[in-house]
Amino acid sequence: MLETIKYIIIDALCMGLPYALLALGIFVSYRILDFSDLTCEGSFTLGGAVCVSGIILGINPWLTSILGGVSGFACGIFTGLLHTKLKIPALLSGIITMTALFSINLLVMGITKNSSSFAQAFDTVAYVGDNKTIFSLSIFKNRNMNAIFISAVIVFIMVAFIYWFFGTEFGMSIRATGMNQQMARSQGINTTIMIIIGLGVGNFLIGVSGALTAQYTMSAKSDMGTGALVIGLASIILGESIFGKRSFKNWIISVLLGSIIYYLIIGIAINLGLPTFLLKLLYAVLIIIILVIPFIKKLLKKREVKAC
Amino acid sequence: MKTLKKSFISLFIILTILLLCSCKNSNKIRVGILQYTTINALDNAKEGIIEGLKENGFIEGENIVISVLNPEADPNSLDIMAKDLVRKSDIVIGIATPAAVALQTAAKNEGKNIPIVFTAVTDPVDAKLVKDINAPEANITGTSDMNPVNEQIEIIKRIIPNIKKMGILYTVNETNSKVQADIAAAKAKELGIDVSFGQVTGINDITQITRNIITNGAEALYIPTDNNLAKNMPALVEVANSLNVITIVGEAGMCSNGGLITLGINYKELGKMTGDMAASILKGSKISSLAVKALSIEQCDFTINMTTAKALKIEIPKDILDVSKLIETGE
Amino acid sequence: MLKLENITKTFDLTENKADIRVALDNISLEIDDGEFVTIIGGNGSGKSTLMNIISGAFSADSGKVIIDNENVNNLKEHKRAKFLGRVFQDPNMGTAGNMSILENMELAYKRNTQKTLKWGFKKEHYNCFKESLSKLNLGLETRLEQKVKLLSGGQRQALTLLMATIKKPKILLLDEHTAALDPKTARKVLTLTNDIITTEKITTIMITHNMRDAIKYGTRLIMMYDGKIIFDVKGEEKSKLTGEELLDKFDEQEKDII
Repeated sequence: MLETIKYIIIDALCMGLPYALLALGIFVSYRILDFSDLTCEGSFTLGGAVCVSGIILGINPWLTSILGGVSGFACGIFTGLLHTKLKIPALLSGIITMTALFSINLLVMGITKNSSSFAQAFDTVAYVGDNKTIFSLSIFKNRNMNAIFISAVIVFIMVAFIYWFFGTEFGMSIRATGMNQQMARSQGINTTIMIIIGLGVGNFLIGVSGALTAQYTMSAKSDMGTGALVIGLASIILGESIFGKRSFKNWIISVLLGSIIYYLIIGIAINLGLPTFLLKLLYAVLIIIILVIPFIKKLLKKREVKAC
Repeated sequence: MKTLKKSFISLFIILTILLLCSCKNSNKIRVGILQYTTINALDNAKEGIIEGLKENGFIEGENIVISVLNPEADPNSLDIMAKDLVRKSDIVIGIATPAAVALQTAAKNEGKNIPIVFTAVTDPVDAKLVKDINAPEANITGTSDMNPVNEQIEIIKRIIPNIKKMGILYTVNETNSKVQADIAAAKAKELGIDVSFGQVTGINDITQITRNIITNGAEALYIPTDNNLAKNMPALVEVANSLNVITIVGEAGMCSNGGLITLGINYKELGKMTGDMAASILKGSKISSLAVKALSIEQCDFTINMTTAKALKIEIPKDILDVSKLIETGE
Repeated sequence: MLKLENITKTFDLTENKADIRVALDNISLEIDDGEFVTIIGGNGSGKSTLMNIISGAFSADSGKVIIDNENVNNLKEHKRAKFLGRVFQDPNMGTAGNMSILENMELAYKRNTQKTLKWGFKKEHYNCFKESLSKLNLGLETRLEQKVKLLSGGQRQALTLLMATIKKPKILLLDEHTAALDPKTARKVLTLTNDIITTEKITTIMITHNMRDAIKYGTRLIMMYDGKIIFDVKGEEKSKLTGEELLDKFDEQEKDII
């Protein structure tokens, strides 16, 4: 039915747009800074936890969404410090932060409980319930369309911000650091600061993504970050392979679209009645296909050359 | 590049055609069941629901069509499946709190006032599914699986009358478990037993924490209906048995996997009760008249794992033994 | 301009404290404003280490590095970069491959300033850069928006050289910067290098493995061996040097060891 297609597209946008910010954040660490950052699973959840707990405490949801981003920023800074100041390898730095966040997220989600002792002051989930979220702002009657519109606006603002930021002197220095640290230093760039701030900016986006997702699903759960890195990377690679990265602007938009395409594929799979136990296998197969696309492209190009 | 774009477009077209063909038309009532994950308790609940509906005249294939979706605890699939069920069903049933909440959210987002029935939710008020369990105000009601935790702790005192110290294990990640653990601790204190908590973070530290808590003096272990621990009972029980410590568990499925004894909710009965409620709604009852139900203590059953009992060389009081369901899990 | 006082640098070869390699052995050196010094020496003589100590990539175990009368021992590499220019042996080292020529030049132009949130591209710079690039005679001025990784090795080195000198540095450090290029391109780049240095009168240290170049270019020649300066000649004496004399000097050291 055309209905089903309509739903698949709507779902892909509802999930794909908030997750596009996740992909963009991972893009900043992974592609711009060339830093394999595992912080994302923790900062995504923290963004959601901070946002929902804030909402329950009565704070304006727009403000809590930004706070979610700021808490993500802090996570990125922390990972950056671990790596640059304590010389901990990149991968490990992210893992350390992610592990620490496991406990912190539980504490944040427990903030709204009236607990008798510190040992009980945590929770594994925070429910929005009847409180207002940013999606409560009714611009369209259909709640899904409403959510899509609001998410789209936020994503647009974030994309514009990223495009502007990496075009500034500071942003260019971060890009140079990611490409060639030795070169950056010889051009007077303080690579330590660049890495720290770069990771901060990336995780800010991830935090906002978590905040949006939590508000859409009306709850922040301690396991909401599971698989975030895989989804983000899959979106990036999918987007790059299909839409290319000719210019910086082109590249960012490709990542965004990649996230939506990713959720389109998942939506189609589930709608086709794929048994759940196969769903995880599908993810794996999808990732393999996505990673293989650049390789196949090269093969095709070689064939073309040989044919001449 | 162009060929790649072309192949993607053709792939999309093929999938679209497939989708168009996969639609079914039916004038049967559509029941959507969302089961959070696969464990004994939830499986039994699902069976009970289907039986409950049957007993009320709603039979799969005849006048109803049942769709069951199971996201296996994956947060992404959970939301997509909830939406899917809400869209294409006339009534939805959520097994376990995350599933129920996902259905509630999906219904809100779809703007569809679909009746939602939940089961295996320990604290519906805390999950913001209902405000008052006696008078559901929205289109949601269901059954709660609040464990008879107090009665379960009392069993410990009956098996080891002079017990001084016990351990309570639960996975940090699961709110339901924490709720039960708190109640257990309060009851133990009442009975004069010292309590220490074993807070597990995942699958990897279960044996370590179990061993730790026993080494620090626990003479008995209480394990609530915790998804993570339920799934990994064998490992836990191996440690407990080797150190001669009895394990009181939250429900019968955990007994089948090695736990010594439980006074547990029969999840199939709970499911039937839920099926009943769903049937009432389909027959026209207003949800606001259907208070949240739970099984009474009389509806709970003792289950004892005799293999574990033999391994621990423990004597169960005769009166309990007489009314218990005995199971053997041959070693 | 540059003063090195008793610089020693050792590297640990293994965990064993006894296995160390002395890269620089109590080196003292003074270079005046405007001098163009070529450094020559075999592998392991310490020339690259010396350059890294001056640039701040490594810090010496002991001794002082004084640039323009200021002790820069505690100044980090990126801070020293504000007044140093550097061209590396690897053509990929000196530029950011995925950025355009324009972006690379903007970065170089702002080497000595604080990085702000102002927009990174200035219209006024475009024409200025175009002019400077055209002086290289490599056609780069018409490809300002192209990504640097598409350029050849020689073009990248020329660009790096330009970036290093766009704002006159106090010292220009050239680390075998033509070693990875083919002879014809190497020649071109060296000629270019000499032009820029002599026109702008930049204090320069150039490491080279080519004895002829070491003699032909520069006002002073230093030979290093085993972490020490074994030969230091300038002015007229240098211009009278021949390749054979240098080789002899080199063999002398080898014989001493054997």
